[in-house]
Parts: sequence; C-alpha cells; structure tokens
Amino acid sequence: MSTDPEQGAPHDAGEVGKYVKSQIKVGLTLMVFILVAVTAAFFPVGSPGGRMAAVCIAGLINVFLVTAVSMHLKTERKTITQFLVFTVIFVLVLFGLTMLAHFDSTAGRH
Amino acid sequence: MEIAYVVKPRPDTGLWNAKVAIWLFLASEVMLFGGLFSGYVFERIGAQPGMWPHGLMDVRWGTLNTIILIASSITAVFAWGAVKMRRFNEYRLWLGITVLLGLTFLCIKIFIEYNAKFNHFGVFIKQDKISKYEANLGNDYAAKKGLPPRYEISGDLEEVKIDRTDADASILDPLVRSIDADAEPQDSQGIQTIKIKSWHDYGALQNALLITPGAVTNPEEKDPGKWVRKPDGASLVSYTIKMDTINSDPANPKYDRPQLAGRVNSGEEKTVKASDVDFASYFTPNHSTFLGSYYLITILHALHIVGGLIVFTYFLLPVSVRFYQRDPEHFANRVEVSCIYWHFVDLVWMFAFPVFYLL
Repeated sequence: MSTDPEQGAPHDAGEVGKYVKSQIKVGLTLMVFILVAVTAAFFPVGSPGGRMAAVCIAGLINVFLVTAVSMHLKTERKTITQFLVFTVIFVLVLFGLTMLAHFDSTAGRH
Repeated sequence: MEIAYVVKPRPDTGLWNAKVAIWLFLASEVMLFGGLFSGYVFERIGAQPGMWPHGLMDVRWGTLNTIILIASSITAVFAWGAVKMRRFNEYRLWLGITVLLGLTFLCIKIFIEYNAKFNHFGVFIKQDKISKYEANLGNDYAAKKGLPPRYEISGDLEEVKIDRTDADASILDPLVRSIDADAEPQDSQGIQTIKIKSWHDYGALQNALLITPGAVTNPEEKDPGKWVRKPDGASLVSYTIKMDTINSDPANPKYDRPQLAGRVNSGEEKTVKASDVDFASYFTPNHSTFLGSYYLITILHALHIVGGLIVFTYFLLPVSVRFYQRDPEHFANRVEVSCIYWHFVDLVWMFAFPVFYLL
C-alpha cells in the first residue's frame, strides 16, 4: 500500500536509528539477565538466601533497564518524574504497611 | 475545533497530551499492581514454615514466555522507528510480528500453563498421617537435604470412591449421568466408584456431596430452595491419583527443585483415603493462596496484554492507514505511547516471573 513515505519525514532519522539500536541492546541484556536469574535460582551452589538475592538483583536490573531505557524515563521531562515520585511513595508506603502488619505483635487476635 | 498539543509539545511542560495521559494512566497501574504484589508478599512472609507451595510452576514455559514478551517489546520499538522514518510497510510488518508474539504469549499461558494446572489434582495429607505416605512424600529425604517439607500428593485424579445411601440417588445419579462419568454400581458395602474426567466434574460432585436432597423440598425449611450441608450420608471414601514423578520417586535429587523438572505424570496409581486428607483440590485458585495470587496477577496481566493487542491491531486497520496519511507525526506519537504501555506490560511481567516462578 502506498502511503507517501516522504510526507513529513523526520529530520532526526539518525537519532531514531540510534534509539532503535539501543533498544536491541536493552532487549538482549534483559534476556541475558532473565537467564542469569533462572540459573541463579536453580544452580545448586550457595545458600538459598544467596540465590534469592541473586534473583532479586537480576530482577531489579531488568526493571531498571525497562523503566529507564525502554520507557525512556531517564530522558523524560521533569513533569513526569515529579508525579511518578508520588506513585513510588504510595507503593513504598503500601509495602511498609504490609511489613507493619506482618510484625504486628498482636498477631492471632481478632 | 483543533485540539492543541497533540503533536507539538506544550511549551511549559515540554510534553504533548498523550504522553502525559499515558504516564498518568501507568502511575495508576503501578499503584494497582503494587497493591496486589504487596498483598502477595504479606501472605508469603506470613505463611507457616513449609506450608507455602513450591514447584507448582514450570519454569521452562515461564522463561520462554518472558523471552517472547521481551522480543515483542523490541519489535514494537522497531515498528515505532519505522513509522518515525515513514516506512509504513516496514512498520506494519514489525507491528504484525508484535501482535503475533503477544498472541503466542497468551496461547502458552492459557493453553499450556493454565490448562496443565486446571487438569492437575493434589491432596494435602493431614499432619498426623504424613508418615503413612512417606514413600510418596519423601520427607526424610527432604529433611536431610534441607528442603521444605512436602504435604501434597499430586497428579491426575482418576477416580473417587463414594460411600452412599439410597437417599443420595436423587442427587448423585442425575449428576453422574449429566457429567457423563463412568460410574460403577455400588458394591456390597454401598461404595460406588466414579471415574473423574475433568476438574469441573469433580467440582460438581463435591458440591453434590455437600447437600441434602431433603432440604430442597422440605416444607418446614424457611427457604425451600436453600442448599444445606449434609450432616451425614454420602461422603468421599478415597481418591485414586496417577501420581507425578515427584511423588512416585520423591528421593530423586532431580525433584529437589521441581520447577525445572516440571510436573510429569509417572503413570503410577496411588489411592489416598479421604480420612487422611486435609484438603483436596485441582490446581485452581481454590488450591492455595499461592495459586490464588498467581491466577489473580497473571490473569490481570494477560488482560493488559489483550488490551495492548487490541490497540496494536487497530493500528494495523485501514482506518489507521488513513490517519497516518493525514498526519504521520501524530500517528507516530500514538504508536509511541502504545509502545510505552507495552513496555509497562513487560515490566509487570519482570516482577511476576521471578516472584511466582523463581523465588
């Protein structure tokens, strides 16, 4: 289907190409860290706690790569990062409440 | 009337409308999934030692699905890059591949992973009866290796035996006919064997055993339609299960981490007395808090995939071609925000995969 490819062609074609290449690298890195996490979880070496820590670290690197690079939060405008700060605070408080509930010394009472 | 800032960014924020909208939407999504994951963590850390299920997931399919999802994120970016460079045919190719990868993810999830679980059955043995089933649970071996204790015998449910009276006929016989089950006649002790074909047949049978026929028509009952739990009468006597290899050969080191071995049926049958069973269920949300959380979060995630696929498919339709021809930069912005959403779906899976499959 003809769609007039020259119409409104961007001037930043080089930049787009560079961005796409960076995404390929990120994607491949994600796949590598997924395999690292799977291997760390089941490799019969080290303590269970150590394996768990390795899985968590690999997972956090992946989460950082997706948010910072794939979703380009690293280069995003301040407005977005500012309101996302509130979201992060909300989630942290939520997990904090979970911890408080867990360590509540009145456990077992209704 | 023309809407402002759909292509050019607003000078004070430096953002165009859809960019702000998608990030606000994703912020709300983070809070939604954050709530679900924090609930899961609460249940997980509060579980009694050894009572949290392990090895119910098949890591091989989970890993493959993760790689498929990451690949779809890359192809979505290729599609965005192509539309930015005004290569429309290339854009359609990459977006089409993204849709196919998303569909593959869903198919693996629904037809392989969920399907395998919904056809898998497990009985949790009562704490005081565990030693009786040591040959199938392997707790001595597990203790030596420092593995969590095992309470469950799992596999394919073949048949159940029911102790029934003539009074149960009005409920059980039509039910057995309706689920097309192979039911043997009662033996001399009133025990009937019913072959189970699927998880919903078992559910129907289980419900039938909890009601009394008299309650439905009893005129003294205030609510004649109400089903009440049966105080006596028909009850389950035993379950016959074609066991998984983890239960037929529990001391095999291969099953120290059953996620990697998968739940493979050994073909060996085991009959477990109902009186020895604490709880029995197919691997449905009813099975455990773990599976309840797993289905809740992964189905919600799958619905997000479906949402993304609907949007991507819309971008492949002729209506989108006309939109592209009219204003390609506006169209590219729409593809961009869809890609950001798709990356977010990827991000949720980056949390869900280690939480459910690896930890």
